[in-house]
Amino acid sequence: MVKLVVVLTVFCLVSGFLLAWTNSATKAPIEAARKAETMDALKKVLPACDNDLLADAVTIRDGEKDWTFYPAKEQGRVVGVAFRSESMRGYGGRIVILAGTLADHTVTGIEILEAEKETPGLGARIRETAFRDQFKGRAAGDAQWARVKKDGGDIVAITGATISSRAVSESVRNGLEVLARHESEINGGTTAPSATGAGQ
Amino acid sequence: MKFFRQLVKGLWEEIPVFRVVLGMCPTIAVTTSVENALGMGVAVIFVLICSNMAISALRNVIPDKVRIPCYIVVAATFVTITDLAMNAYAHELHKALGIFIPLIVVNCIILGRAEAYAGKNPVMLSLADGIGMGVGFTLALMVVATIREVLGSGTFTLWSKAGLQWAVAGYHPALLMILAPGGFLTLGILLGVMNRIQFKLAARKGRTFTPPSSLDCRHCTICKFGG
Repeated sequence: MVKLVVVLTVFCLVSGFLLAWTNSATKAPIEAARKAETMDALKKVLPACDNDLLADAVTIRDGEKDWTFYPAKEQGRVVGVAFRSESMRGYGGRIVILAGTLADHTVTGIEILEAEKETPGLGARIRETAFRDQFKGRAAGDAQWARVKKDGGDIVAITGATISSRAVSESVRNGLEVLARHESEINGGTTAPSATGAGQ
Repeated sequence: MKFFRQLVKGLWEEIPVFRVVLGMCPTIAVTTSVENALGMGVAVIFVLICSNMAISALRNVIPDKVRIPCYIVVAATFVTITDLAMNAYAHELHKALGIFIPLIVVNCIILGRAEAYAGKNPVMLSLADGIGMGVGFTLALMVVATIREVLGSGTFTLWSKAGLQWAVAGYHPALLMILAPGGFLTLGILLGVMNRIQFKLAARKGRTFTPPSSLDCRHCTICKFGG
């Protein structure tokens, strides 16, 4: 009886130790990989710029949520803004996207950052360029076009994955709306922090 | 020789999905595309080899009464290590396989091989068993996935990031095949075909084939597979 308890305890201890060690050893590389991934996505959706995108990120509070915006600057002049936006209404929960806009509010493209829980072969197809390119080149306007056709917008949903397509459209739309509301704070955020706490 | 025989066992004689009928949950879940099936297969091969060897090495230490909890702790540890290491050093692959890796813990094949083989046999043979069963599982997944993806999406994807993707020209995909019912249909038909082949092979050698009890369909008189 005692032996059973001892063996199982030792097993769990060794396992716990191994996991703790692996976790500490992989923490930094995982963080670095995440950063590189965000950077990669930012480069894909933003025009050429010379500032440190991650360091210049601006956090805006709108309603209940915090939004992260990444202004792209060329010699101090804002040439575009990217934002991270999420929707909890994906088929399997959270979907996180990164969208880029030019200074004149033309959407330059979107990247899907997280959609792990979407069904492979259906919802996961929101990562495909054919779907994502529908947002590319659109003028932001009032952003109401960023809905699936069923909801009165211009986005053709992926067959069999209306819910996932809707979640992506929703996050693009919300992001564009917040961007329009807080544009001055975002553009001037890093050089002149405004009273709302931008640039923190 | 024994090593080799154990290696081949998992590829045909005891191929996990079609003959032992274990690991059905990932089989239905990930076979919507060949790429996913391949990824799941590779992750399972790795975890299966590691857990088989560890359990085999520790088989004299583990008391019989608590062997199942011990096996689960070992499998879960390796799965988590794989998950973290993949996230750190193969981030792209991890993104594609993210949801499947934690699922490996509950994959019956890992526990099944620990219980049926690794817990009673030496390390080298358990290694052969791990490789054979892992590769067999991967092959089986890929067969199911090829049928489902080609019929359901009209494509064949080995690795979309590297451009290894082909589309079937002029084919209108039957969406049903990549949804759950398509998984059951494909799997059922493949299991039937597999039984049929085994019956034929056994009959040629003048023996009677006994399917595993969970798969014995001879009580049914609809298609006379055994006849």
